[in-house]
Amino acid sequence: MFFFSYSFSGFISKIKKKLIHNQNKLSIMRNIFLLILISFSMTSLAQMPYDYPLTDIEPAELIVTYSLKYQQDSLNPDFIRQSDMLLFLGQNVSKFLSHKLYRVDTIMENISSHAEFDEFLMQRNKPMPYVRYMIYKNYPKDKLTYIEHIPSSTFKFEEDLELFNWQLSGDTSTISGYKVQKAICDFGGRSWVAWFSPEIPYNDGPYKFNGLPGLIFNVHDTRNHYVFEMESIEKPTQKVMIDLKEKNFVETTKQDFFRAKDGFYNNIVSRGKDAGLDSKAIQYAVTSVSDRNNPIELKRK
Amino acid sequence: MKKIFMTVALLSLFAFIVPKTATSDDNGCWTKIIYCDDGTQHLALVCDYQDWLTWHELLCGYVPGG
Repeated sequence: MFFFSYSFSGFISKIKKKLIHNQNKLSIMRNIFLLILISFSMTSLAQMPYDYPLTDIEPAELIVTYSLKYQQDSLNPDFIRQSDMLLFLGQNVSKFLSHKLYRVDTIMENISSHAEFDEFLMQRNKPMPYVRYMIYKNYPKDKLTYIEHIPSSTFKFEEDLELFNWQLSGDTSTISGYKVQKAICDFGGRSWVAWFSPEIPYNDGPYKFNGLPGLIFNVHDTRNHYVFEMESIEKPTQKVMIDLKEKNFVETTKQDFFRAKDGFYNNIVSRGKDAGLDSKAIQYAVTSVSDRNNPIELKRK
Repeated sequence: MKKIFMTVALLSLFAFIVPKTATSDDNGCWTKIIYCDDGTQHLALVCDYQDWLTWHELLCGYVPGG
């Protein structure tokens, strides 16, 4: 009887121990599962550095490619930078940006994970845009919207479309088989010469230039520090939308935007530290910003 | 004790499984590597892909046609 009672209570105690052990195991597993779940949901809720919703504005009717040649350092005429720029012309709205920024934006729209993003960063010969502003004309109506990113915010400001006091000249010429006419204006502290074609009935052009009775083919300042030349005009063979990436914009004024931009380049050491750069990288950055003294708009009012 | 050990071990394993690049700071920014075409690399905090483009330009220099 005693033996039976001992064996029975031993058996019960073993079962209890097993149950407690299993409960502990279950509890650990449950905690780990919860931890993983929380970590994944936090990762997925965080704003990914490539993922922004798009707003379609209207289809592009024409895509004009311009070559931009510019002298970044006013003291060094031998160092000319070159960028291909795209002007998407819609019925009411246009969008102007560098071809490489357009390519990067398109790649980003198709990226869906950090692994794909990192793969892009590691690629050799990836598109590297150095002109990174975007200009929308007549969006909103009668306004020009300028968008540019300065680490780590994207700024947006509006200006009136009517920025230019053009004077038409009687001079005419031919560019790529189109008749063009000359016009001049002063803008942003420079004197500009433009050639536009009434044969292409869009009163638009590269950068902020607009307001002539025909598409601007070429425009340059009289010192040739900034030269835009039309390279091609194409009708899209498939639907191309003029769109806008809806970022968390810092909506500002032109003056405050340039204050922020100057602040970034003038304080590159502290901004580099904020971005976690090491001292060697900061030194590279200091050297890189030292020759930026010749912006397209010398006067910003 | 065993419970703590197991939790720590699994947490460490988890930390290794999740790629290092997928760690965001409080502002949703990510530490990314800036790869230059000459083979040099730098680390920078990136909150937007355009941050990465800016730092790439400043740290790696100009590539014609950009």
